[in-house]
Amino acid sequence: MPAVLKIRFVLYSILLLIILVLLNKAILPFGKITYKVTPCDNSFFIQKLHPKDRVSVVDKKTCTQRVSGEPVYFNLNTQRTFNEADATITYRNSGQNNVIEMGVQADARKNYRLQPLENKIIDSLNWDKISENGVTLLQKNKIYNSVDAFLNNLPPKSEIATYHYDLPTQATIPNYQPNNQPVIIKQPLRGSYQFYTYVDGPTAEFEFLFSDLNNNKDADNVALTLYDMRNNPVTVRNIVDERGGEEMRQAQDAGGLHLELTTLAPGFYKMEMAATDDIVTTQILSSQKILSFINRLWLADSSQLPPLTKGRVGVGYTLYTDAGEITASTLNPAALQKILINHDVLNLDETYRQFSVPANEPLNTIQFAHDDVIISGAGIFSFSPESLYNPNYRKISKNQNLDSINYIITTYQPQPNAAGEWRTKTLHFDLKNAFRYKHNYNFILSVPGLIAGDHVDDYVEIKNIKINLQGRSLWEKVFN
Amino acid sequence: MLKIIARELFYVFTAAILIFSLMELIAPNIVQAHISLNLILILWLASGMVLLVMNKNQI
Repeated sequence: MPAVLKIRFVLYSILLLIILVLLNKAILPFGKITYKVTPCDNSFFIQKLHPKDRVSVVDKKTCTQRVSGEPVYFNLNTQRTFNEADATITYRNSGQNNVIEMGVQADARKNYRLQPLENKIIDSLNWDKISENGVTLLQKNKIYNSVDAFLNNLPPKSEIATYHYDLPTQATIPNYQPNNQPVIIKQPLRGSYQFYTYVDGPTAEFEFLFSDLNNNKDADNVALTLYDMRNNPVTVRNIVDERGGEEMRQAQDAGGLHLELTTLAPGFYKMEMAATDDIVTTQILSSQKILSFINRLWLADSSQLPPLTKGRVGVGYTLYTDAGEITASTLNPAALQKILINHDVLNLDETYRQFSVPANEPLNTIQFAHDDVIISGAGIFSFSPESLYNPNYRKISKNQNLDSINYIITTYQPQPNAAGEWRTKTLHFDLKNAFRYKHNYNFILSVPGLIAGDHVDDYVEIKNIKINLQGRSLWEKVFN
Repeated sequence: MLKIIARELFYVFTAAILIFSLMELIAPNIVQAHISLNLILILWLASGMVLLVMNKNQI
């Protein structure tokens, strides 16, 4: 064979091989691939931790990176979809962080499905432990011999805490006494929220009044959905924004929704109000006594509202909650204040930053002078003690007081305390229902209480991240 | 012989640029995730320049 042909054969064979390798890496005919990265690498597939102000510069000697604020995110860029991911992370906890969790984005609204990497509160407990089928029961004093025995004969709700485990929600309230008068909430609430309510008869009535602040350019639609406790929607109502006036910063009346429900089964329901932050609910009227807001409330700035819709203009505000830790933040310098939580003071003295205080009573009181504050916690909130009732079991928070807790049930496997040591942990994620945007799965690393720039030397140091992905093979895609 | 190698390298880099660009058009990042197209472009230019110099020296 002439030399030219030999050279061509070799070179074009190499080119063909490269093309086949690239196609193989994109299609993944067997449906499996593993990506691994250290902070020193510039990987196309597992991208760097961000935002930059929450992570340190990469230590080039050890190829590690410290996370000093939370949450941080990283993207997994894939050229095809997958069904499952096993994410293995090697990290080191500085010792001050009680809870470290990792999750994958579940939907476009930036909700994440979190799983525990480390929980020092549970790790440090000297309680009796029983583990069966991936579920661990911790008992302060051993009463139950198995997890099944516990689940079939649950102790009083006030003694139980859960961590990444869902016990069946309470179906009814024993000896429930309904109100004769409707509950009216005049405190304006900004953006989306959810609340539990309890219906003891077939009828219930709700009325919501809204204002539109018109700060942002997006249309400000309102969607109101009532769910039963199996998360089935019972009724849906919408207001479509045809008012115009976006970005005019002139608040205007946005109408209201009236729900008169006549075929409800007795029990707990969840009302979800989904809207942009331009929408303010200026009044809620409910025939039901229980209105327990779930996890988060944004008390709107009354001064921004039209005069007739101002609702309650404050001489102070009081909320009640069962959350074990209360977090407050504000975007408004005029809302900076001291907030009284039971007998403790939470100093809300900086905007765009969260401040937290433990709250250890079964019923905690939050008192504050100015509105336009976002209050959150792993629990429920209400405007009166009579309206507060949580059908769910208490969830463990990062500063949970366990004095009244005798049982913890969790899918987390406790591990020996090892502050300052490297740990490698693998978490399994279902990607079939995960949110994927522009070929990216988005992951989060959550360390509640880890705040960048707080002059406390607490951090989580990352050594490497490895992700095993599994999806449908080429065979399954073609023939199924 | 060297000139033949330089010429064939130029041709194969030309083919690579065209094929990889087409692959990137059809499925973005299928090539870029593993190989920098900028690198292929530089190699193509370099091989072209070497070929031109060799041709010039022969004239």
